[in-house]
Amino acid sequence: MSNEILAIRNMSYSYPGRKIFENINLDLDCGVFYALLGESGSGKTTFLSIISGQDDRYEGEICYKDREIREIGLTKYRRSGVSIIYQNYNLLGYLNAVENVMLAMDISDNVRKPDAARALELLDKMGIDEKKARQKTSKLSGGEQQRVAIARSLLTDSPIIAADEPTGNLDWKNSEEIVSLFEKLAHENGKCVVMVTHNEELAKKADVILRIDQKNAVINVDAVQQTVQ
Amino acid sequence: MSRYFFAHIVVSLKNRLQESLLTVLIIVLSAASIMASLLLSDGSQAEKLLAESTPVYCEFRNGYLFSSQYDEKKNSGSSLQAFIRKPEGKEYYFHLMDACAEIAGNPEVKSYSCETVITAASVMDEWSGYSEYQLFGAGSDSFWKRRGLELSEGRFLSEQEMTSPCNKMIVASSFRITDENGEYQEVNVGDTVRVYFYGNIFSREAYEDFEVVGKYKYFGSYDSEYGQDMFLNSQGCIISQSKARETVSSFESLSQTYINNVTYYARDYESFRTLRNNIQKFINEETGNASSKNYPSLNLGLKKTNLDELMDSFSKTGVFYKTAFTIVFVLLTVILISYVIYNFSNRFREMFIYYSLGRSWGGILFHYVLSYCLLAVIAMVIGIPLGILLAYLFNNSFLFEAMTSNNMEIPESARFSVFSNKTLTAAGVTAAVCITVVIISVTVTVVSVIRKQIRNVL
Repeated sequence: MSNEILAIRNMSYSYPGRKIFENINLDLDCGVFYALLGESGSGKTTFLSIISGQDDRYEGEICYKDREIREIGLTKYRRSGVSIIYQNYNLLGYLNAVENVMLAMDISDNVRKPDAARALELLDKMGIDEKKARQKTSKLSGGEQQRVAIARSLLTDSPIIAADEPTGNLDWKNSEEIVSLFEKLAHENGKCVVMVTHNEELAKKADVILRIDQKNAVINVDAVQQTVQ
Repeated sequence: MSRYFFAHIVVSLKNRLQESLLTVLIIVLSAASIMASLLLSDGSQAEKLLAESTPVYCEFRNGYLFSSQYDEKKNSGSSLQAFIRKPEGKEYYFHLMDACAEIAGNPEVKSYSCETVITAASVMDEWSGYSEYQLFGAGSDSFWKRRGLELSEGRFLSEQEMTSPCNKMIVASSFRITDENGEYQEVNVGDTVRVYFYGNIFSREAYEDFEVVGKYKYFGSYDSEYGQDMFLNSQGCIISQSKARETVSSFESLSQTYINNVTYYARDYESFRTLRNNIQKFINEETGNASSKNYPSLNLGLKKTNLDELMDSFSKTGVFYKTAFTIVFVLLTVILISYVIYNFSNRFREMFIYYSLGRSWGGILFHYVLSYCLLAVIAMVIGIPLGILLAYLFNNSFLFEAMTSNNMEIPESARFSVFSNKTLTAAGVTAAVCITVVIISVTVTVVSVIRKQIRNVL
């Protein structure tokens, strides 16, 4: 039985005077942790913007559960299909960790109503105790903020998690912990995790490495690290 | 929109306390200024001050007193008091009964009453100083009754004596005159008293001898319209009205003549104004005649201090304050818009977070508009009452100035009532203007920020 959640068909994307992607065909599955590698300016973040429904200026099709995401509506797609994690965490600094998580839960179509107890429980599992969870996120460390951002993604219950250089601002220890969390999200929670990174070592922890070939504007499935269960 | 959506708006505003408070403050002042501007223009209008339901008491003193009272609630009742005071260094007189005839001849007049009071000074001789007395001219039996007087000794003036210029006098029981040694002497029935008139004390050419035929005292019950006259109670001398008039006509030494308690009732404000103008015209004509009889010309100055001019001055002052408040409102609106632009220019990241979480650009705009509308509502709860208070204080301020310079008095209730009719409308307009300004400024700013930044991010 296929776990395919996102199917990219003949997708092309260009900036004025420059082709970024040409006829990309790719299937992304639930329960798989993908690492997207590429040189600076190769289009890693653009690819993530496209599959996370933030940029619709592509040609071809991107189908979420067999429906083109533009047809679903990008806003609705972002609310129900995908959650995004950024390098700079993108938390609202004037809210505390719980409020940030609850805001995402409120916007998501997958959650009936924001649940503070559930948010606190998950944050605790992520290493953010209640005291810290009640602090404004601007007062948390980088690693802690990224954990809050991951908890936010997880609690929106979106099947796809798109992470744009999530370890870019973190030290090695924190980076490894975050990547381990992504592995767990994919393997234990059945999420389709797509992580953009430029770090080969971290990418090796992914199930599948997607490497952007900037010269030919294609994405190569470079290596399969392990069998997906 | 979920309940948490609104809760999040409140939490966001609370967490950005400084920004929220500053925004509220600007809108409070803005709402107050527009509210004050709207109410001031209303409160400064003559017709509003003298509206049908507004009791107004006006008093004009420009060397002479001309006061009027208008109260629609009391069945179109109005009353007018006029007294003519001697200009400095000049003497004149005024025929009371003629004035009454003029008033009585006016179809708007329903009733009137009048008495003559002549203030004179009396001395026993030039070395003993003088005491002030008042001569009251009694024209009918009702004079005694209305003032609650009763005889303590002697007799009242007879009907014939009151209508003929006889030299009879009734004095107060406590009436005293000073002798040549400066000692007070009691006056008894049968005594003859020489009254020197104030203007000619030292020439002693202007005097009259009066025979005291009776003494009176208050028996305690009197018509409230007249009250208890201080002079009548102590130093009053009652003579016949015809004698009073003759005295007025004969002596240039007359110090003061009063037209007292001429009461009439007008049907409405226009009639009231017409009648007042007629009386004024008559007074001018009379004083003109006086002038032709070698009396100094008398300029009552009523035209200069009439109601229209006062109201005109009110309107002008009102327009001044209204303009000032409007300018303040415009400035505050500019400040508010600038502050909104300043706030949102640095908040695209925040907008983008909402966007990436799944909120549409329209939803984000709605979120901010609603946030600022909430601040505007809080601000208006403070700003609108503040505006009413400001308008009241400023209106009072320039009313007070006008009153001081023109001796005009408006009761507290009337000052406030000019606002009451339009307060709700003004509050509605203020709320609409503030909300519109907030919505437009937030919408334009957020949309322009999104448009400017969106392509850079995606």
